[in-house]
Amino acid sequence: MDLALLIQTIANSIVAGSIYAVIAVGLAMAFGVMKMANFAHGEFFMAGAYVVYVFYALLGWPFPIAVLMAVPIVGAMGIITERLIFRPTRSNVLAGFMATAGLAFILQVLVGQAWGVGLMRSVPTPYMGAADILGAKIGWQRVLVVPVAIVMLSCLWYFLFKVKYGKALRACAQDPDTARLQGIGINKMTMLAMGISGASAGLAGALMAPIHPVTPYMGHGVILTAFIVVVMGGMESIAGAVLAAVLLGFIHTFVTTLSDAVTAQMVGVACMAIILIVRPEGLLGRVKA
Amino acid sequence: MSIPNWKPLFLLAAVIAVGCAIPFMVRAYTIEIFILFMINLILVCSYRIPATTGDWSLSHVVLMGVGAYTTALLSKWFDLTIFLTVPLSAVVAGIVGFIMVTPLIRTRGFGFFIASFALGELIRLIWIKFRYPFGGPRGMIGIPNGELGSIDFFEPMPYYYFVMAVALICLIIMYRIDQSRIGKTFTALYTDEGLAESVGIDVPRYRALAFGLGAFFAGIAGALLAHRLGAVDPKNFDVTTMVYLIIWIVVGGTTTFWGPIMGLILMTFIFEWSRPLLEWRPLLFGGTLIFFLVFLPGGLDDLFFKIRNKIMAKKSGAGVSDVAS
Amino acid sequence: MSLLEIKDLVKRFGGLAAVNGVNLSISDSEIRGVIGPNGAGKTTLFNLISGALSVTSGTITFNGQVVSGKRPSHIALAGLVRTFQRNAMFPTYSVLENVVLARHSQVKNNVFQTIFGRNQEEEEHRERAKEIIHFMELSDHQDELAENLSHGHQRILGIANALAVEPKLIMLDEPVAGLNPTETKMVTDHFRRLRDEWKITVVLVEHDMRTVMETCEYISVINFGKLLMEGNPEEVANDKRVIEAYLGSDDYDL
Repeated sequence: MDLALLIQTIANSIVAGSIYAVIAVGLAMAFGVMKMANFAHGEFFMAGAYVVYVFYALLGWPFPIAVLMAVPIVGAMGIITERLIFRPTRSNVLAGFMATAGLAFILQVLVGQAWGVGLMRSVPTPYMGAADILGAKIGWQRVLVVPVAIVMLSCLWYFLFKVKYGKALRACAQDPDTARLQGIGINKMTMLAMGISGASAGLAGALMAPIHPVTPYMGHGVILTAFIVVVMGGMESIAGAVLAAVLLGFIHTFVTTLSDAVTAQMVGVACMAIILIVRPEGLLGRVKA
Repeated sequence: MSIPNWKPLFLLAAVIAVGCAIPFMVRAYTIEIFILFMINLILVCSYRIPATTGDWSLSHVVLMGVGAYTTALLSKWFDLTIFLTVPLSAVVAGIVGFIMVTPLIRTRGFGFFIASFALGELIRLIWIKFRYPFGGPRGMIGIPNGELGSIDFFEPMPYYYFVMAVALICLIIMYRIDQSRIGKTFTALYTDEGLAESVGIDVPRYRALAFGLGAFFAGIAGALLAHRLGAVDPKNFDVTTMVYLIIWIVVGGTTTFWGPIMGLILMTFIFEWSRPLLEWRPLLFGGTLIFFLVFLPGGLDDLFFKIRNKIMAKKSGAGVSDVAS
Repeated sequence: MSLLEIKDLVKRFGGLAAVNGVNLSISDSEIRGVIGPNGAGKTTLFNLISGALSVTSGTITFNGQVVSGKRPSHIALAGLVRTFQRNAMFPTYSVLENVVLARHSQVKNNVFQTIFGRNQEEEEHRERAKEIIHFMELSDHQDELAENLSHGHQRILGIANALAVEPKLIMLDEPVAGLNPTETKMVTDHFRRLRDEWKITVVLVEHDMRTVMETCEYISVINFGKLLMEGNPEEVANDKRVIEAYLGSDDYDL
């Protein structure tokens, strides 16, 4: 691999890693707080993309506003999911997970019926042209992902460590029983976690709308990648998710460049299988005593 | 098994009789639906076997695919008769199942679910990646429909009887497994793994056995499907299909042998009757899954079980527990 | 002749050594008690012997075979069977079904034979199960669902299940914990019979001093993960170190 290609691949890896991080962080948080595993997380991503499609491509609103719209809308979807699906199945992780598989079907149909299925909707690129970074050419649309991801993750970090509700969320994730004794309402925490989970997935989808073909089924590829990242990082570790996301971003991009996309998928899945079997707590997860 | 009592045998004979009569009463198109139904019957009962040990997997449909792909390859390379491809594919699927479960054995519950998903996807990606020998993303075509002497299974009716015979044999075997000490061991180890170990039950070995048996019968279903369609496509064995299987199982329940069968019958009816709804169907199915998991997690057979117990309790009065389980 | 031999057994959890170098030897036909205050390491020791926990170092030898590091089911099949305090039985099965299921380990035929063959073996095992139930005086409740039994009967069923595995040594995990005096007597009456009539070595890991003093012939006292002293009930009751160990905790009720 020559230097130019190497730099290009590294640059693409950083972009991929950034978007994976934004997607996976929400999944890790929801699972960490109350073992809520969301099979429809990919559909939340898809919903975010459609929000941008509707507001930006159809209604003509400015792109940044359209992206910001995705955050509360999909965040609300997350909260509803928590209320209707995760809360009644709280005692059974598997049941909740399977139920969200049903939710995925529902969302796919609703979106497909509303805006058509089959033909891919395309969202015109608001930022044309490419950046030239050390010889690597990356569309501005893709470059944008990195600073947005960094800002989002920083805000999340600040929230979790400096803001009262965020600290309560972390306490809940570490020890729900003690947290309850300290007066932290579990239900509030689970709603909050799922709200953030949905919001971040929606944000990721919104950013990707101009880049990725927008179809009701675009969530399929996402959910697998998201789970690989979360498993690799340690199911409930947010820091682990970020680390694993960047790692997987590099792995996927390099393998795709050197071989092809299918092989990259295989390597990713193989990594997940290996971690689950050899070190189930993931890279940064806690070992359950 | 002592003297077989006549009631269930009578019921079985009645079902067989009805089954034999069906192809004469319906259109060719409906016969195809019944063929698919019977294949799914084998699939759905096979899923229950590892489920009784608590191992719910997301890789079961891929194992069906292993059976299908094995059939395709055996037919193409060795031109074997359907009477050989089906059992051989089942054996291969069973072996792949055993191999898969070995690393999985360290996981349980949700971890098992996700890990099985990963391994299943890995296999599916192998089919997609390697055009030789698996045909890549387009799959393989040109699988013979099979024949028995001069009877060509291309026609739905002869194939219907063939599948019915195979399904009958498979279900009887699976039922016998369930009723045997092995079946009871499966449920016991799920109820209390520590206790099971303490009475000498090697839990990992039994889980592996359950998974392998489930894979075996899934392989039979896959082989039968491949011969019917004449082709295999990796898309037939993806997550969406797996979720449909989960829906049948959740709706029916796994408490009894008949649970998954009930779930399949109900959802097949709903599937066929909701044809006019066309693209809204997945929404209906997704909603059904959510409804059952939230309100009836034990499924229909658990529901009937509880109702039956309530009625029995009312009849015999409180405190008398002479109802043998 | 030593049936169960424990040498330099150590179990560490992170930095904490719950069992810190235990040496214990149990002979054939004993009725042995293992006692100690709360947190002494009895439960850990118990779980190490039964295979429920992995050993950090040291060896456990049973009947000449090394069993440390083996699966619980293999240890049980070697003749070293344990009972549980809670979950002594399969709640949704009847008493008879419980014991028949526990007989499973003694069944000789394999998968294929089970599915396709005849089952005369099953009849033999059923008979043996009934014998065991009769011995434990549970015959009246044979067809009752296990979850409907009284606590005392459930514990007895737990012992019956253990007997179904044809043990040479049976380890009882706090068998009378949470039982009232009547129930306690129901359970303890069987200990001596197990040794006398069925030649099974009985080891009792127990918290309740009275039970141990009344039923055991030799007692090992554990404290801080080590063996404190051993002796007959009188010796143990009068040993200064034992009294201190118990006075230091809240469970002194000698």
